[in-house]
Amino acid sequence: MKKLKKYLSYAFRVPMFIVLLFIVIVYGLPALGKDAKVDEYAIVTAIGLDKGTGDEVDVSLLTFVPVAQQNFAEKYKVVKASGSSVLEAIDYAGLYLGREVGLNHVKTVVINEEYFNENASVEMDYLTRNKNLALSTSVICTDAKASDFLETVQKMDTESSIKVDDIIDFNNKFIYSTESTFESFYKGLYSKTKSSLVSFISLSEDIDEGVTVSASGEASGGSGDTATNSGEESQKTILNDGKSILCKEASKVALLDNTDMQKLNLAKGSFDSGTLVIDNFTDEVFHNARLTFDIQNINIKRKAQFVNGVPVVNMSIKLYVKLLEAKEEDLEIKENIDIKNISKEAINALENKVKSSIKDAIDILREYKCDILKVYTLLNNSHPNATKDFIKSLDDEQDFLNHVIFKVSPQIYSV
Amino acid sequence: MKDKTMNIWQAGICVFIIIFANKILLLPSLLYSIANIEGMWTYLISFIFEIGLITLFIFVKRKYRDTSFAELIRKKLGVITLKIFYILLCLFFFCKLILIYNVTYIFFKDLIYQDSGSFLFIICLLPIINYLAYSSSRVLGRTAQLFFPIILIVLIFCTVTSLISVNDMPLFFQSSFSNVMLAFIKHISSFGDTIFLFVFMDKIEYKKGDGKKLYFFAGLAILFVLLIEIAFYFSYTYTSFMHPYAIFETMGNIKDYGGLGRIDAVAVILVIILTYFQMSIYLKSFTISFKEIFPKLSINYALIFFDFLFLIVVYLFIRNLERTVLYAESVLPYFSLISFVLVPITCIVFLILKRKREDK
Repeated sequence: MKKLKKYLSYAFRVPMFIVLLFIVIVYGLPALGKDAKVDEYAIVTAIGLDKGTGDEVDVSLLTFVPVAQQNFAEKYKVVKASGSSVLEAIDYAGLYLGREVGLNHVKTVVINEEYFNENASVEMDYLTRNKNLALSTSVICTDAKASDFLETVQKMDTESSIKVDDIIDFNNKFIYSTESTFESFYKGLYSKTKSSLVSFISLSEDIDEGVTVSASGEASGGSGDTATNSGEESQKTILNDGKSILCKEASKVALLDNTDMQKLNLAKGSFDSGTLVIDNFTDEVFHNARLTFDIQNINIKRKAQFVNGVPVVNMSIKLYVKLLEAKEEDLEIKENIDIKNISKEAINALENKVKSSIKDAIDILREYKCDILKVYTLLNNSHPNATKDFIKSLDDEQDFLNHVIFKVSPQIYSV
Repeated sequence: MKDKTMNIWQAGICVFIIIFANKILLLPSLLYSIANIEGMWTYLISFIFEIGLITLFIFVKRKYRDTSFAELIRKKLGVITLKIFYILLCLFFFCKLILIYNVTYIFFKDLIYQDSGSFLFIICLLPIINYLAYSSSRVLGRTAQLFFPIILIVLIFCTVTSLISVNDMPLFFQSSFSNVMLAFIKHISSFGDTIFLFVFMDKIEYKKGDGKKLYFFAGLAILFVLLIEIAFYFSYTYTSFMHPYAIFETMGNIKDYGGLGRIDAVAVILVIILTYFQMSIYLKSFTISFKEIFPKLSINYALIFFDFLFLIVVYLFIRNLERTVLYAESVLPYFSLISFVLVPITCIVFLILKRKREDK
């Protein structure tokens, strides 16, 4: 007892101990009696935006209410609400749920194409101002109603555990390299040429393509729930075929398909993997074959120079590829394919393919006056004065890409 | 309480800590909104002034080794000048404290504790900074020395991971020199904090060649601040103005976390530690200045006066980001005349007087 008294008297002589004790008494003890924060919130993982009646906006929230249970299943529900603004609609959705709407876990925002076309930056204003929503949140545009899209996503998750944000991430990292987030959208919008790309995913009734799920209201397994209870059996497909919307000043100017996107990404050199296909190829080994090469690595160096006041962009591309598939009638493998991978003829054909792909990509950008390749930044950062003079000399500043000469020199390496 | 001295290493660590004040959260986005990417030049210009202040301190300290700055002013310029000078210094440190508190409070409130009030922050901050200000300079220096390895490790981690994730190229040469200077003038108050060295002058042990150590720590801090700025501007490019909390945002830009989860939480640790020490150094400087104005009053009165004033100002005037920025851009720059004009001129006068006496 004496020892305890001695320790206590020593402890109370330390001011920080008194502060700590004060904080524990004032904040710690009352906190024990409070409800857990998670009980006050409905967790939203995806938001859908559609044009409502008149000036209204329809908001759909892919939501689950956290409930303590022994398994990891979360019961999702699509909640819809309308309002004169996104904030108002989300508040109404909160009334329906009887909980505060928590946006901290939102990974995807789905916007109906028609709604997006009107003025995306204005409609997304609330979502970018909201501090709970990260600017790295994925943005997807769809031709269907965003609410239908989310219902399909919810069913997809229930039936196959495929999540739409995984699809977008995979799309971004490995296949079509379209970073489609609030951040990338605004980076493009606030750049000199006000151009950006937004992923486009269709919702199709055609069940032969894409990831097909049933939206009948009867989950085939797991503990998922659905908001659609139409009774009629309908099947919808999420069709991620690599399309992207090309935006200029936050409005759609073109819908690019996957072949366009592959060409653009080759010019950007910003993907981790991809393929190059040459048709009707003939050399010592192959005859009229279709060869598919896997791109293992790509390294693009761009240099800008001005020749007599005309900007020239030299693109030196190093492409590391591996032949992974050859299609030819009566194909006979006569050589060790691990040792002799690609012939000189194939390399020439690949170089031509790369050149034509990049030319096509530049033509697309020239047509829509969208500088996705950041050519302006390259010119301006290397020759600021010459760039200013060059831009001044143009009738339409936004059309500068049509006056830039591109020189592409690809080098293909077999790995 | 007898105020024991701190050694040059501890003083260097305090310089290192204080150079980060206000510069790695709000400032980069504010500078970008005025001068685009050229906002980085503002840092370089301001750091030249900061290094100039440290150089002046080293010269004055070399010439007047065991004398306090207050004593020098009293002897050379008189008591009234001393009182006016230290009233201005008190105001300067108080205003900087308010700014640091508000920026950090809003940062935590926005990003972590949205439901909490100012009271929780005051309870967590005030007692500790009061204690460090009440203790001797040696206690402050030693505590800073104890935490310095943690600060350094976290800072290296934050800087390296931020720089690795850089994957964009901003647009240069879009802003004129006048915009850079406008940004410099508007945000000059975020710099010049090293004048705390003059207030601590007699409390720092100084031997021949110690100046290099101060330069080393200042240079290291400047290097880290610039690297964080580069990582921030090269990560967010055109949207830099949309991200108010630079170091936190650069960590948030890292795409592939692996299994680490919210890696940006590491930056929060750094902000917490730096805030405690920055506020403590300011408060300690405030109390020393207060003591020079009222030599007969003990340090307790300085702390009570500060706490009372602090609570009033925090509750009545500044509680959101908009008002904080307005305060930092329109009120505080006037106080920077103290660090960038008044103190240097006074030092130059002292040095000239000493030179004249030596010549005689």
